[in-house]
Amino acid sequence: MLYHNLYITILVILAVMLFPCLIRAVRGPRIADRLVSVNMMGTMVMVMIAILALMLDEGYLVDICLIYAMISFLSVVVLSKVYIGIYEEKRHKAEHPEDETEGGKSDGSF
Amino acid sequence: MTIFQSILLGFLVVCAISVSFSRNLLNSILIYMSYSLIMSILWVCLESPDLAITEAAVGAGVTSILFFATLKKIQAIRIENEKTAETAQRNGKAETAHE
Amino acid sequence: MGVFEWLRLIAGCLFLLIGLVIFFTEIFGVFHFRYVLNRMHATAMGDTLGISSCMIGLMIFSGWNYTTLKLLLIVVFLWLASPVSSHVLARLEVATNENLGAHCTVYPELKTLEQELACAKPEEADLQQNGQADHAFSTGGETK
Repeated sequence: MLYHNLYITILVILAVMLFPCLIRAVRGPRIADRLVSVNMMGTMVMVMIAILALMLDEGYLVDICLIYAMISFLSVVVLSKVYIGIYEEKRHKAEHPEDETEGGKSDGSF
Repeated sequence: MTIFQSILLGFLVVCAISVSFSRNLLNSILIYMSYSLIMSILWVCLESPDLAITEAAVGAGVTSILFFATLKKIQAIRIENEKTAETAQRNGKAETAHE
Repeated sequence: MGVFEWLRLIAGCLFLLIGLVIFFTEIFGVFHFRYVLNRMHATAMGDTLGISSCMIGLMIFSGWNYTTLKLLLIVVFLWLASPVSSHVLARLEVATNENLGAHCTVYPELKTLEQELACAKPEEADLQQNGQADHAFSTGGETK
């Protein structure tokens, strides 16, 4: 019974700590701010899922935590790579407006 | 346990509202990711691991990246300085490019 | 509740408390710093140390079974993955931010950085006070 209350308090503290991450995500001026806060939220969610897995004492719930680690890492990497691609392409178009004819070289990549 | 779930549900409501009120499409995708993040915790609270895994895999992974790809395809992503320039012109005051 | 049980409880609670304190500092750091590159220091700290201390606490609570092994796998994966994601985020910030020079010194080529570091060895003192965030960021790749 003692463990149950301990887990509940820690979960509540973590849930309350999620709100500033969301505020940073909404308010963040730059795209990197938002990705950083989503990444931070991912790690907090991982700890929450691990605690929940132990509280409901089912071992297979920890797999979700593992999957979440991979997915949050993957999405941060893919989103920032794609965004860098967009930014470079836009800057390239802004610097060399003359080669507009062949319609930008980035269509093939993604 | 109910306190924890009520906090998370409150978080979901805040997420949903901030998704609709964010001007930048990119910003709404990222908040959508955090929305599905919290949804998967709630599925874990309800002791259904398969739904939690699919919500995690689909919500944060596939859908966001597909949204991102569609935005990229329709060239709808306005990069930072274009956006601030537009807002400066729209409300007419000389806003500094980066605060 | 034998002595061993109490010992386990205290050790687990200690580690979980450390993890929570690290998450608190992480959130304070993210809101305190003004530039993204500084904020990433805070989140990287939470990514590696915060989650591993929480996981160690949970390992102590969950005892000796396969769940502990999975928790260990998560910590190992995160220690490998979070530096990579921070690196990609830093590249994103460098690529999208034009006036990066405002708050950190940008070296267009790596050579200038090496020369500066080579000659900066003797007078180490002045390098400290010449800027708030002394980030020597070499964007050698993107000088198109």
